[in-house]
Amino acid sequence: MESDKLMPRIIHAADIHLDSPLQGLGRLGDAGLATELRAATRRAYDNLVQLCIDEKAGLLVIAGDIYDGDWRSYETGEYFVRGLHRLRDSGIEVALVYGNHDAESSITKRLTMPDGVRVLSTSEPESVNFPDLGVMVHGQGYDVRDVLKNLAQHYPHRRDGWVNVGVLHTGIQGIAGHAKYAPCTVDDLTACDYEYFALGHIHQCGEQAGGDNPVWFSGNLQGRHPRETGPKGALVVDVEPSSPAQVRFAECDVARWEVLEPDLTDCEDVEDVIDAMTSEYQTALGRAGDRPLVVRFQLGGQTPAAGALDADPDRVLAEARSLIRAGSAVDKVVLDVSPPVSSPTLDSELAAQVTDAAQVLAADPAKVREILEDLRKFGLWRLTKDTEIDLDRDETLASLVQRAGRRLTANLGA
Amino acid sequence: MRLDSLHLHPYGSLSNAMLELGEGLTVVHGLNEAGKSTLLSAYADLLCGIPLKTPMAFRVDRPKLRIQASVTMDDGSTINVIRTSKKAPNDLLDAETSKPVTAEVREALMQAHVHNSLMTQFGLDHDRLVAGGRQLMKGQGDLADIVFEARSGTDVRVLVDRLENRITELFTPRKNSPSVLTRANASREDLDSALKDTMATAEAVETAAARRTQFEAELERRRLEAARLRIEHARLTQLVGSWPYWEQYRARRDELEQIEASGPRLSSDQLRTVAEAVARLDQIDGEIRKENTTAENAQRERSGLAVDENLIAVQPAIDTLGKDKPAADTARAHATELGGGVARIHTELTEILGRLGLQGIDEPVAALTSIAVSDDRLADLNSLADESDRLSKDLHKAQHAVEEATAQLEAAERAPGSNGVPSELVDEVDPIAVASARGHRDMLWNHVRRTWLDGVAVPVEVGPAPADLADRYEASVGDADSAADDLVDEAGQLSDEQRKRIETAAASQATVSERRRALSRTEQSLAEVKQLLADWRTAWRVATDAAGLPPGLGVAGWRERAGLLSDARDVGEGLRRLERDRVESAEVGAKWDTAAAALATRLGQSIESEQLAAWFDKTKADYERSKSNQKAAEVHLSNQSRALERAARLREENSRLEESLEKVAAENGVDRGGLGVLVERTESHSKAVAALGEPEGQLRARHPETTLDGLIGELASRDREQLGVDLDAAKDALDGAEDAVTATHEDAIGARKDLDELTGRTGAEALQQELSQATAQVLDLVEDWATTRLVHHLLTQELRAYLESNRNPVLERAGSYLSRLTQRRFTGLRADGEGTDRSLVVVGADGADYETTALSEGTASQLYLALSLAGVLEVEQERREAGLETVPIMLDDVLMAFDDERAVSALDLLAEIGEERQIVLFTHHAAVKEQAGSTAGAARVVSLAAPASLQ
Repeated sequence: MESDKLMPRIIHAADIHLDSPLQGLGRLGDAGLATELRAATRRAYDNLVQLCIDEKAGLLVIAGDIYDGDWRSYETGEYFVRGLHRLRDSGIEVALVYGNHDAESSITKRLTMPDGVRVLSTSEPESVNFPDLGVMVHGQGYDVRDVLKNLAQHYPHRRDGWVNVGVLHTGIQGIAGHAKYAPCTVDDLTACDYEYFALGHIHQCGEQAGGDNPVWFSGNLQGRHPRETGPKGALVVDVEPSSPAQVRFAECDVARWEVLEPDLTDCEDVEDVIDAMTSEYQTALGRAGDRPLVVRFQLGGQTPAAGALDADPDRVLAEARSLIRAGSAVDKVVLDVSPPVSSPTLDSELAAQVTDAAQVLAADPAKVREILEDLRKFGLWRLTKDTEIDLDRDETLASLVQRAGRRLTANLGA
Repeated sequence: MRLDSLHLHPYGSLSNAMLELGEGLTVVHGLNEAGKSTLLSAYADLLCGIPLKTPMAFRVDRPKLRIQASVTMDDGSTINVIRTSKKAPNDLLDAETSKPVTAEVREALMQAHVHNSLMTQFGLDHDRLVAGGRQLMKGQGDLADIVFEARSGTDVRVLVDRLENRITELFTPRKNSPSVLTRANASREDLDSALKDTMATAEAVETAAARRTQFEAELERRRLEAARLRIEHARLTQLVGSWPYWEQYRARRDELEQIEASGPRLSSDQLRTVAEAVARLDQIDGEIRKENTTAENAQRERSGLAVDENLIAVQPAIDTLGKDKPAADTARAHATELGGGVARIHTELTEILGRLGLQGIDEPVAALTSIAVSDDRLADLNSLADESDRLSKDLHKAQHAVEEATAQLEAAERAPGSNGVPSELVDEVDPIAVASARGHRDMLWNHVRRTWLDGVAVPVEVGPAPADLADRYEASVGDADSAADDLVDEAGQLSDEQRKRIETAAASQATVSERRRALSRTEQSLAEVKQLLADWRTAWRVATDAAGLPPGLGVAGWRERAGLLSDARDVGEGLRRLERDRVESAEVGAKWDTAAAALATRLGQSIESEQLAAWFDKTKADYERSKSNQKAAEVHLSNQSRALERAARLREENSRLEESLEKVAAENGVDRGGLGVLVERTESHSKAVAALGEPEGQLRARHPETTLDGLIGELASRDREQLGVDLDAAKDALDGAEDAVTATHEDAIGARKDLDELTGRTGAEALQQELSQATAQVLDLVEDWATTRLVHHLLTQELRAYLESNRNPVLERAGSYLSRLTQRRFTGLRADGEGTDRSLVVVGADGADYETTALSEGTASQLYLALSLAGVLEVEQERREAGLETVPIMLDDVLMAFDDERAVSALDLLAEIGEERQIVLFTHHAAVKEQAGSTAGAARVVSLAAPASLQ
């Protein structure tokens, strides 16, 4: 069907992860801020709904991962549905696919969607059209968490006369660590010749292909831990048949994470380190605008102040907390410094011996597990699974040993 | 390296101090406050840099601190450097060029040196010696620690302790342990549990929803069953309740069938025709009689009414007179009233005329005309009267002006000098003064002459030149003449007093003249006014005569007369107006009287004018009565006619009805008399049908759901007793079904409540956040614990490895040193045990092993010195092998606890070590200094107590 509608406006969002906890808030020390951030994913979702209304969008496309897979609260689903009702009341169409998290979420299977919300098939690619907008959406969701086949290969070719929008939750090949789910190549996607391809799964917003067949990740709506830094939100896409889409990013997040890694090479003492941290923090503050800012100070590298830092890590944390303003918080200070190779405070031969010993140990994960065996009690070992310090991963163990070696060197040089 | 000299200028308390050191052992002796600590600090600052917060910048500011040193490097080269507090590279200068030293020199001097490590590795003081000795005595000493510590600059024992404390504090793998991680994990587990309780999972919601749906479906099914039973029960109940009506219906149906079998019946139209005709015939007779009576009554009434046709004929005139009569009565009364008013005003006018002098006047209005003054004359007279008032005012003013001018003239004439200037003042010269002036002039002349002619004025001693003298004489004469002329001129002027008197007299005369002229002007004005008055009197007289007014009538008299004339004219006018109104009113009454009289004449009557009104009233009443009777007679006539017409029509209807009855009888094959039987049978049949309708209606009303035939069929097929049995059974089944509905309904409500409770639960996401935070805390602690545990592992492993590889040479050297320090009382050292149980044992001269805990405090100090020196030399050896510069060893009062003999032994040992490397021993004990002086001569002794040697 030919549509006489021009330039429909589409909002592309993904990876909402509603009610997914913001990690590490317990470290904040600012109870008010912690409370505010607890509802961050909900507020970000509210902002998305408001964005659709404010932008007078015709269609919201959600490219998967509405929920966290292991989160089972029915209330979360109800909250999501309430937002959809608001959109439908405003005359905004909604099309969505389920992602890997949604596939394993018990909420997905049990929730009733509002009338008019189009949940695309999980068994095969489905095309749904919105005649009033002149838009046809093609997509397929996940029926199980581990969809390891290439779904994009089976997507239909464009339908002329419509604005064709593809939607897929995928770990596109070429992006490290993400190729596992519904793997495909950019060429697979552009071959469909759609006016726009909305992707989900990668939490960092970015263009994968431009020109006449743009392919974008919108990123997630709200950063939830120190690995999800910088602005988060959705994409506003203006597109008409057979024309390249105009894409712009719109922030939806209500708080920002920043990992700050000040250069400590020339820091002689703790005061110099605090100065360097302050400088980095001020820069980050400017980027965050008026949002709450949660910062992690990653103090690493070789520095003459290594010994002083390691001798009093509590002071460094206290100083870090005192230098930030109200509305910001310190997630934590990671101390991983070592004295310079030519440090006058340390016998270089001794340092080399310690480093050698650490390398030997790092290469022996079984030995490290034996040393850390006590952590198997009270489920602590299991608790680290899929976290930044997953003790089942050899890389984690090696990293811990290397850090211990640097810390020992710093301590011996103090 | 070797330190040859140290020059402080300035530094700390020393403004310009030089310390020269020997190649081997140098003993520096100084009393307290002599500068030992300052020199030690300078040594450290030289090699490590002057710290930002140095305690040595109290005499001068930090930027001015200077330490100069001469240093011999291990390769034999010598450098002379200056240490400053500036930033690198300007903090270390070549003393010769004052420029930064080369990078190589800098690295050689500063490599591996910061304050703490320098003094820890290459320095030893009394306190540390004592503490180290005591630790050995407690079995805490470990050689590896000591050497390790010497190498790293860190107190390894403290570090190990710190790590172990931290590991324990963070996590002890026991339940109910007070460790931080255990507590944090317990909190996390509590939160996890709370979350499980709070969270309504989607599965739970689905299960509850399914349960609710199941109960609601069951409820619906049971409700339908109950409804079905209720209908069945209700139907049976209805059949039981309807049974009497069924029996009644059945009896009446039989009766009806019997009537139908007894013979023919009229059709319903025929029955209606017959019944209506019979009933109408009964009515028509009565109606005909009533109409005849009405006609007779009307005839009788009409004949009793009297009507005067004459009066009816003059109806228009009576109507007109009746209409005009009230106005005529009113006009007549008004004319009478106006007549009284005319008489009063007539009297008033007569009185006014009397006051104008016209007595006994009968026709005052006419008389009024005779004394009237024309309007133009009236205006002239009023104008003249007004002018009279003005002239009187002018005359009064003129007379007053004359009197005032006269009084002013008299006053002027009384003023001094008004009669002219006195004669004595006429001359302009004062003769007395002239005479006096002339006398004075003469006196001047005499004086001049006498002066010059007698030579009084000629100075004797100066012979004057004849020409000059004559000039001076002439000048004196001229002066005298001039002065005399001035006097005479002055005397010739009038005195001021005379002049004033003359001016006053002249002014008075002028005033008198002016006032005389003013008087004359006012008198002339008075005369003019008087002339105008005379002219007015003439004019007034002429005007009054012309108006026919009485002679001698003044202005006041005229004004009174004019007022009376005006009043009389107004009254006369009012009199005329009243009279006119009275005549008009009288004319209205007279006109009506004339018309009334004419009517009487038409009726053949003659009526006096005074009686006309009463006559008319009576005649009008008669007329109205005749008129009324006339209308009533017409009504009676009409009624009579209509009654007769109706009676005729009723008779015709009677005939038609009789014919129709005949016709129906013929149609049914009977005569007129046989119609009654047919009518009676037909009516009985109708009644039977109606009687059947009642039970039939009841049955229909009670069973609207079915047709009557169906119902009748069912009732006819049922037995009354069996119906009762069926009803009881249906009641029991219904009760059972309703109980089941109630029970299922309660179940459904419960299921719905359960679902509402689940879907209404909130706060799970907040708890999840808290749990996430708690987990993050636990993970932080896990990470901290794991790292610390690994640090501890690496450190203890490294310690052990070091001990394994270094114990023999170090122990041997330390044992040798101990032997010399204790003068062979103890001969050596050895390690006892394995692994972490390894400990140090001292070998006595008797060959026996002694635990370090068994040593005296002094011997323990000596053991510690021996171990320290062995460790330092080991480090030095390693440094040398690594290509690093050796460093002088600094010892501060380490021999304090030594007895004299052992102190000598120690000095000997140090001197011997000094042969290999530089050692500086600071002491404040004179005995040590002296002992050092008596040693084998390898020691250099410097005394800080002698200022001269430092200058």
